[in-house]
Amino acid sequence: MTPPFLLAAGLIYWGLWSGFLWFALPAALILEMAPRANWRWDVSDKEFDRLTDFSNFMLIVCGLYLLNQDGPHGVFELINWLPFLIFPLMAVQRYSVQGRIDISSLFLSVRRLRKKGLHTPRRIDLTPSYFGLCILAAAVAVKHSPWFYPSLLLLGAWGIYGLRSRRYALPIWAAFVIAAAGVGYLGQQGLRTAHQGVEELVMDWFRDRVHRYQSQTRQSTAIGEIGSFKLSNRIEWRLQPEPGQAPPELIRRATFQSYRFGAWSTPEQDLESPERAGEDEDIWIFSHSGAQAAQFRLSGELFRGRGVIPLPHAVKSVHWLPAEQGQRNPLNTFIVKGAPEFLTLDIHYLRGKDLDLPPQEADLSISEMQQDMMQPLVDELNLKALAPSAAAERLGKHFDQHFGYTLELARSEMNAAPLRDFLYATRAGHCEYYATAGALLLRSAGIPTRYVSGFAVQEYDRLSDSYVVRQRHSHAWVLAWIQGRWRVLDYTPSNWIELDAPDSSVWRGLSDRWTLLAFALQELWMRQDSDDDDNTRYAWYLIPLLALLGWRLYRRPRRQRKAEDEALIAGADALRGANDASPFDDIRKALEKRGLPPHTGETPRRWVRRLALTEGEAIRPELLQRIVELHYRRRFDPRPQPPDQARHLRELVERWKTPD
Amino acid sequence: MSPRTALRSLGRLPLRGILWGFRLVHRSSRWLEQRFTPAGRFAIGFASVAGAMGVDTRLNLAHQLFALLAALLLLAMLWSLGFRGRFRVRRDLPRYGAVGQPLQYRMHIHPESGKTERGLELLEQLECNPPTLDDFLRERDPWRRGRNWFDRMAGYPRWAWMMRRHAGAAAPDQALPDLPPARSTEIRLELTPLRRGYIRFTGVVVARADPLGLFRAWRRVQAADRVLILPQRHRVNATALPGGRRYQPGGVSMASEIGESDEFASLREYRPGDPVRHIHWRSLAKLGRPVVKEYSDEFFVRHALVLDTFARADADADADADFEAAVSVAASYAAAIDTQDSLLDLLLAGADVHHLTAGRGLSQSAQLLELLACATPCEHRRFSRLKNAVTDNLGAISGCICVLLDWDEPRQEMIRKLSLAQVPVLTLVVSGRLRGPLDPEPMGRHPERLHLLAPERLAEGLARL
Repeated sequence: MTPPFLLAAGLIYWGLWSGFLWFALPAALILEMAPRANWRWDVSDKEFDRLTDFSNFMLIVCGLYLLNQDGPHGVFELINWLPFLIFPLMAVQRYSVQGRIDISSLFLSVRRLRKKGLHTPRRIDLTPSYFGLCILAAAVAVKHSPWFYPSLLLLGAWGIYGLRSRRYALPIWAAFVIAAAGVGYLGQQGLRTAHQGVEELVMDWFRDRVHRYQSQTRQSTAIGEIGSFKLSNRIEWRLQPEPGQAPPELIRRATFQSYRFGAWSTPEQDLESPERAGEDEDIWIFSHSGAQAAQFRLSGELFRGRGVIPLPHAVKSVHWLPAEQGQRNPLNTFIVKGAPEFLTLDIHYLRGKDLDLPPQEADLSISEMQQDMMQPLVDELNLKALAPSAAAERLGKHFDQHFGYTLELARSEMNAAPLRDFLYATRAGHCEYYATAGALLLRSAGIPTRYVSGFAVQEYDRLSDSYVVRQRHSHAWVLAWIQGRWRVLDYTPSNWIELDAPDSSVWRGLSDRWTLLAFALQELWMRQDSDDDDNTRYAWYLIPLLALLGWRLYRRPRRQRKAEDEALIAGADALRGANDASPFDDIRKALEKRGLPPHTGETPRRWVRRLALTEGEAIRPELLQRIVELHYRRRFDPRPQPPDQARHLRELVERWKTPD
Repeated sequence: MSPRTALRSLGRLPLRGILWGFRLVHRSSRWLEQRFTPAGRFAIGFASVAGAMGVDTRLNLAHQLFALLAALLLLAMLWSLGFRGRFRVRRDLPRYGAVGQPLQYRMHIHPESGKTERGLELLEQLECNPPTLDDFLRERDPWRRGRNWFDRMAGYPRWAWMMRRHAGAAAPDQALPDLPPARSTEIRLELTPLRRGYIRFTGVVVARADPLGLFRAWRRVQAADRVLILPQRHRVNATALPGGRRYQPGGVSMASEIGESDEFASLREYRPGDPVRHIHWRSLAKLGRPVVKEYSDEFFVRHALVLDTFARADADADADADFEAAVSVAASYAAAIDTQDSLLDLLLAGADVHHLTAGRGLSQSAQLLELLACATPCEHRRFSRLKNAVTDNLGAISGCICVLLDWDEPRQEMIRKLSLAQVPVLTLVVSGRLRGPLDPEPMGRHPERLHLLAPERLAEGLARL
């Protein structure tokens, strides 16, 4: 039974949060007056049926209306209206003589049983359900409020106060409720975080599936997008430098020459396949330079074994890459096909060197509109008058002093061109802005530039003793032709990594550990796969086989037991078969015909002995006794009767029946 | 295994899978029902709805309601891990119960902890073996007419009904009073048997709710027991039974072959074959030759109650209903016949033909009812076994009440034989399938003693006899 006034409190609670207080107050009054009223309605089950049907009808009509108005969100609005729609049923129950409703009134299937006379009446009180419905409707009506949870807790505590076990003192109950409140609070925070995480995961998955295969000729940027620009924490690659060596700061995926409408591109050019070496042709030679090469190990997944491999500038060779096909363009974008989905590569590169081809015409291309956009700043900084290196440096200082880093992209005016907005108004953006603006500004100053996209290698993971390259470490920078070689210019504020990093959380740590475990297993698998002599990969196939063997072994005792049971039953059947009509029954019938039936309860042996005394040779007692012995053996011996014994019994019976 | 058998087994695999699923669902639902209090189940239901509504945490605050309810349930379940109570229980069960009638009994519960135990509940645990695939396919529950097409197709409601029937009764549970330490407290429990036969108790569960009253901690106590539930009985007119006194050679003792009769008549010469225990030793000592005691022969009423347990070859669930009704009819007569001055022989076939005599200081009619309580249909056997057992005793019985499941040729043959032997017979055919009137020819000169009873109107039919 619900405590007094709890139902009213629940209704008013709903009214307050949903804005239906005008209904909730009088409704609460009506419901709470019921126990104090000295009259009642005599409501029959049929009338309750009609009321339920009416409520259901209203539910369906309102549901259709709301779905039509608000689409899927109409469901929440419908729940918000439920206290309205169910109120008539609730009120009638409260004022009825029975005080409860039979479940057959609520469910059509049970109503059918009632009509057929197959239903046992069972009455329920809708009050607790209605109270719960009011709370649910209130929860669905509120988007955000710091008072909802505390008020929910108070109402809930009131509701469950009456349920407490008398085994425990009140302070224990109160401590329980407070503990539950705390756990509930943490739980709902966790739910929100989990929701966010799942959303990000789904977005990443979607983005990955759509954009997995990096185009070597075109890349869209986020220049011009408004809103928060975030990439995920997903680990794309792991990088392990040789001991004693530092890793490359940047590894590039692709290089582009032309910028138009928010995207960098490069004209289709002839691709060439680097020289291959090694027994398995898994060594790709990019340069025969004799200079000392630094090296590192790069591990990661390649979706379906094809895609762009991120490499450092001035790569010399790539080892352990068993791909069917590998091609690079003149801008050193390297794409492979037919490679394993999980790669562990050894990359040799020349630190600080440049092996890219000299600039082409496209490296100076800038449209008139872009030129007009860049000119004021070029003039302000006097870049044209400076030597290329000085111009690059001056530009860098300008960015450092007057610009900031942000992922929260906004426009000063709706129609403002994004780059113009970045350079002259907002003066804040992410790496794509800096790289694009830097490349175009230097081109305006007559310096050939290229736009490079790739990753920054910054985060060291102690557990795996490697550098992790996450999706959010994606980066863009500029290659500028200065003093006869390509130089890397990174104009993005140097603290962008820290600013980009999300708050560390337990979930992220767990996710990283899980990824590391998966990575280690994949590496192990790959290692086994590559080792022909000791190919223990087949050991993994044993696991399901062992499981199957275990299941079969487990089943065998059960099957044996079942077979034993069946044998027992068969034995019992054989025994019971012995009770079937015996040839001795013929003798019994014959003697009964002669008026010599056995006495009730008289055993065949006794009967024959008695008849031997009273009738003498007329009944051939000796033969009869032999027949009786055989009959007993047939009847009582648990072993199956041998066929010759059964035949012998039949012969003896026939002989007895045949007069001499 | 032959290919056909293998194929048949393979074909039944999906059904076995479904049954396995039913078992899982049934076990889970019983666990929910027994472990969670009604308030706990309510909280689960609402938490589920709130969780579904609160999936998008930005849309509304239903996720807060869900989190709070989940926290309450979680803490309640964690609290259950700390229940360390120990108990001893003993039941005082009556010897018998009856189908459909509340069975009341006492239980003594003795806590072995050193403190008063409060706020506990007691749940009886009944043995319940799940039905086999064959049972499940064959049986149809009496509520099937009221079930919708989905329930009939899915089969789970039928499974649940079969499980309840196998248990024999709904397990009673009860709030316990305060249990003082180191003392036995007596409580009264009641259950209503759903079927005849043995109801087996495996033990009890002593449950303790958490402070919030949502989840029960359990302590199982082993306490195996059983009670025999006798068949349902109806009022019958036992004075309308046919037959008078008959000569019973050897008196009651010969009638049943147990013990000595009190009716000692005289001494006579020993004849080979006489039991040694009948020798009158004083006379032997005196005369130097064996002399035996002779007992008087008696005339008394002896009825045979024959229960047909032979199922039809095409037996279905309706055949089960017929059989239960037949058992009920037999039990009604077994209970109604006065066995103080007469004997009643019950014959029914199982693995063997059972023949039990009650009356005049021999077995009580209660033992007949016990036998009937455990009667099962006899499949794959021939009716002639029962017929032979009946006709073997033609000379001794005053009258016969035959409760039959059909009116086919073998049964008519048995009745014909009884009629020809001048044995008055009352024939009751219990069948929901047959439609009257039945062919009365085997009844001879008493066709009025043949009756067809419908299982669903049994009480009515018996009262009209």
